[in-house]
Amino acid sequence: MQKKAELLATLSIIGLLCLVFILAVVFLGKTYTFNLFLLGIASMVPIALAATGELLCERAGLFNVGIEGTMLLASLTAVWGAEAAGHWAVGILTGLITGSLIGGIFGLAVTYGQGNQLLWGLGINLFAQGTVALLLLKAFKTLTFYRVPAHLRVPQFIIGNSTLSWFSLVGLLCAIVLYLVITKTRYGLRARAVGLSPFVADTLGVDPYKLRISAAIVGGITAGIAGAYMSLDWTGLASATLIQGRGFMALACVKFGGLNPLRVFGGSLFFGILLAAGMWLQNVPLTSAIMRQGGSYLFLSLPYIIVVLALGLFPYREPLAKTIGIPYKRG
Amino acid sequence: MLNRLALVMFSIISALLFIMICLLVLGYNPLLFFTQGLGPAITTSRGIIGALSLATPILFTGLGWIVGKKAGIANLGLEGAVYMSALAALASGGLLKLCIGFHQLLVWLCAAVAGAVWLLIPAFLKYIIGVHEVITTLMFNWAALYLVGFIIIKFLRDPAWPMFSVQILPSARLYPLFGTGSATIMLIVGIVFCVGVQVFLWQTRLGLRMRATGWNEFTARTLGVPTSYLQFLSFLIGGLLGGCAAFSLTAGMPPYWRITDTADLLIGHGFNGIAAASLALDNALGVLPGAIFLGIIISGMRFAQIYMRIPPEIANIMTGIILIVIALPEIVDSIVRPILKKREVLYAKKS
Repeated sequence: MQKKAELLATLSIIGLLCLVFILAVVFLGKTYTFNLFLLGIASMVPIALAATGELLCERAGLFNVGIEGTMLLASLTAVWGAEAAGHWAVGILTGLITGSLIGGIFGLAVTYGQGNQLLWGLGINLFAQGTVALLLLKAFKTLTFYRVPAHLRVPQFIIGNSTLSWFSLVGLLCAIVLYLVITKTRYGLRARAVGLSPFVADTLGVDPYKLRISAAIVGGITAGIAGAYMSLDWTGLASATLIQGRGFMALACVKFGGLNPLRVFGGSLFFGILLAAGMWLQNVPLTSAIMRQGGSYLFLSLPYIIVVLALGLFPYREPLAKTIGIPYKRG
Repeated sequence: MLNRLALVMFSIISALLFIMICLLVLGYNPLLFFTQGLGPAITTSRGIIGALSLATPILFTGLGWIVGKKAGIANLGLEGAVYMSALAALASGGLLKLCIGFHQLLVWLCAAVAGAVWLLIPAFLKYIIGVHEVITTLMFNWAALYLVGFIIIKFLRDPAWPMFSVQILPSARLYPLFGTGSATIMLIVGIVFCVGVQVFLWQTRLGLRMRATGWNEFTARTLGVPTSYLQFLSFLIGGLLGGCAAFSLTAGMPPYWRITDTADLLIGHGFNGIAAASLALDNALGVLPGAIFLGIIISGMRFAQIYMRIPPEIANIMTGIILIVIALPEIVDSIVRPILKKREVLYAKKS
């Protein structure tokens, strides 16, 4: 029964996407549709990357709302690192290190510190907003946004008239690797055990604290790469309003995919195309009448509403990690 | 009790220390931050009135968070509720023409109801299907932020200024309490609401059941408390309180009495309310000092922005650090516990 409902949900979402693409081809022509597809892939990447790391955290029983702030901070430090070293790879590495540091501190705080994970995540988000605004002014002498020089952008491969980042492959690779780790390796088994019952795992010789910290670090690393991708690869900007809820969308994506990496990747593709459609609709000739009356805001708000409706229509009822968000205390 | 107070003090001190180190590293003079930032916010009358007016909406959103927290839900949707209620307040205050006392009450009612209606969908999803409320409310915050821009440009645009909304008519405005500044009667209403929420949570039967739900949902359900319904209700009460915050941000915001399409005046009050409630350790009466403290910080940052040329978002760093430290009671416990033990030993020796 459960399997059947899931299959139905998956098929209906795929059918919906196909319908949208077919309608777009019929009414607007191939170029616009192809652009929507490429934009969808580009906006899928940060959600997919952040969601895979968050998935491991949730499997191990951590609920990290702070990935939005982690992505924001990493996007800025990535630009700074690339500027300082003169190469984009160093920028990506800087973003990765920033993410792993924040993830590691989060892991320490919520295991040995017995912290409240939700408040911690909200605190990191607020902290990131303030820090990025301050650092933008100090390091790049701007209050709004800083444009990354062209030679520091990540090189892309060319498809037709447009380009695609090779990070989209990294996103897919991450999902597959995480799937293998969770289902096939000892570490994945232990992570699931810690998420289901840290008490039992502890008595069987698995240290829940160390395992949760390692999961939090992995989650921070993927969020850091996602932030670096946003600034150095896709948009080419460093700004305090760069992420715009993509970290929260990754959280929704993890819930939407029911903690299964491959399904989460599919969900991130769906959400990415939704977000892309919000931007794409602003440049389509059909919508110019609405655009004159503030339609750009309407199209930007639609993806978020559709995500909530999708979560409501296709809820995943299988029990997830049971101790999620609850600190484990030894003794 | 002592270690909980120590936690609050520790979080405030660590936030101040962190921001000073930050400014020192980035090449600013951290002492100027006190003399020209927080100093004028506490000593000058303009600063104090500014801090009180900034504290007013934070009071209401903090109370909304507490009502949700006591019933066991994390109501992060207050931010979005504030945006949508502000639209309702602008529509009813800017387009209708009514007599003076009645109009203000109507605008207030519209704002409060709009906040509750906006949170109906996440509440229903939680109540019927069981979707986690954190994710739906966070998504709805972003949706509300963009919908504000659309609805203002489409329906509530000021003909003379395309980026501004209509102005609230004089019959629906609230006027300054102290002659100047933007502190209005809503500050006193907020203080009354603090007491009201405290009485509601601790002295009424509904409040008792709500607290039981938040304390242990399974036990409460076993004892016959309708837990899902109470969580649904606490969502709606949060929405009503968010609407009150929006009323004080639109009708109670002299010299503007309106918002822009990017909702600059409204951003951040939901999350600041959470910080104020956490500073109060989820006590409804404690929200008042918590909100005033945050108001002083934000007001001080505005002074610091003028004199030190730092962005006003720096206030977010302090609220962020405060939230992070408050979320880690174990740190302070590990410092305070040995001191308390020493005192116990001393008492034992004396007796």
